[in-house]
Amino acid sequence: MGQQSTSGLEFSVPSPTSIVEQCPFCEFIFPTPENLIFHMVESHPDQCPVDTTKEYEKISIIESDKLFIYHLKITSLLMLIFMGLAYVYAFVLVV
Amino acid sequence: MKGNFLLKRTSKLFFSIILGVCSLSTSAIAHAGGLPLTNEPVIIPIWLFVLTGGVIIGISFLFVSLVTQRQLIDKINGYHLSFNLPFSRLTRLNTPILTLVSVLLLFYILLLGFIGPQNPTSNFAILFVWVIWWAGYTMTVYLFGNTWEQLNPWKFISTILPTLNRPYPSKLGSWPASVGLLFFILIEVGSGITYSPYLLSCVLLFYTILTLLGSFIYGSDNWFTNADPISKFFKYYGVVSLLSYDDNSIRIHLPGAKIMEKTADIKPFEGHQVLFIITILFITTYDGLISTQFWNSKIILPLLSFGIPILIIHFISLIFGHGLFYAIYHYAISITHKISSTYISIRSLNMQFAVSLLPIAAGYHLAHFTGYLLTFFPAFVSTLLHPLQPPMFYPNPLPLWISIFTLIFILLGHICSVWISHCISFKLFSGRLQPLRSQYPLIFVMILYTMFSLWIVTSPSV
Repeated sequence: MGQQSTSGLEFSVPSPTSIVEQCPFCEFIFPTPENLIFHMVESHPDQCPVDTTKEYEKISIIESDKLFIYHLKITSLLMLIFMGLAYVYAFVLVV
Repeated sequence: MKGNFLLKRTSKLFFSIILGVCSLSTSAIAHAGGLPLTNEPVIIPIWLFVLTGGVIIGISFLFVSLVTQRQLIDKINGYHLSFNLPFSRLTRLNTPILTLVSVLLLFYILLLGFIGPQNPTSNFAILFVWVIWWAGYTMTVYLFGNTWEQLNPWKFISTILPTLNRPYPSKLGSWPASVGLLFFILIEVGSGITYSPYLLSCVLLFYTILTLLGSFIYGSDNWFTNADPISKFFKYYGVVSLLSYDDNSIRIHLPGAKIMEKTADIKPFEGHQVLFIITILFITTYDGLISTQFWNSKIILPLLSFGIPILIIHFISLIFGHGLFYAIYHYAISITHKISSTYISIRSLNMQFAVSLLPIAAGYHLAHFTGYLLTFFPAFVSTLLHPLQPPMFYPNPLPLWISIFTLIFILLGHICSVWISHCISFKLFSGRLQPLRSQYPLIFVMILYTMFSLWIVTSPSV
């Protein structure tokens, strides 16, 4: 089940029963309402209804929390990699 | 859940690869470059050196993933330095003269290939085609922009010849160009055109006839836009250039800025684009791979001992390698599709992300050919001044810092690709977490490819 967009992207919905959230301003389709709200505010900020913008603010806070955890993980991973690499170099060069 | 599952599988695979690399390189020593005249051993083992390259790419992704504001991404891509050109009109006037010079140069190369000295380092045709054009000119295309459209001598000749102007079969897409590029590499590595001036001129003559025949049937524009491998090769490399020009000014920007301008309104890319970009990436790698001692001693020599001709070995390697590159890329994109919960088709994702591979190919080309260009440039100057009886050429070893730069070029190419892939993700997917997660498979492939590229340039060459 494929669909050609005027934006040049092709969209394919896995099955006829899948949830399809259609952007009212372009041909993008999404599997979740959250994805649609993000898209509408990020890609069509001037055309978005006020309700959508309010909804965006709500889900944006939830995403920001998740992003904060994600960035913490990244920072930890960076430190781990630097320390690990320093240890490996020290071990290899000394031995 | 999907992310955790992928992470577990990825870490297992990553560990296996690292263990594999370690076990294969117990007593190897890393070299600072793949060129025969520049190899100076450094003290770290090759597995650690290769691993460090992979880690640098991983770290660059982690740093890049801290940039999640779309406005900031656009601001970074839009950053440029602009200079006014006082001589813009003059450059336009010069274009026909330059084209005419390139046509004369083509005839001169053909002539010297047939009647010039047959020693490769004393022949103008060999040195011009491989050192100046294939190595040097290609560098100018991905660094400063594509000028091949103006300089292409075959295009100029075809415009003054009659044409049937038949419509180009759209089904063919970039297939003729991809096959042509692979064929070009096959004869480059499998025949003597890199060292036999006579053979080089014969191949050039064959290409000239084929190109003029193609443009006679389909028209100059149709042929050079769709089917000519060399024009397409330079066109794609030009996309990652650091400079842009308009009538009155010149802009210096990030390598991905032009790509992002194209992706900004998500316009459709040309069909079969992915195939051609993978071909560019593959041939650049293959060019390096065949010069390694490992490839020659473990693959070529055993197969030759079975009586298989060298051309067949390269043919099979090219087809298999190209297919493998395409399969790995396609698999990575299909995982991206799976984990990013999107309805954008795999085909579209394939097309959108393919351009992010171009800086890798450019970085690898720069790394592979910088030393080659610098080594043989003096020989080219000699043949330019004395085309029929140049003095004997004795190559001088290059300074060590050149070979260090080759490694930096590879890493820079990959880091640019990481950034471009990040920008494309943020254009295609909504929110901030979805674009980040969607990049895992491609970044993983880039890390592996960096390690593979570094292994090639650090391996002893034949």
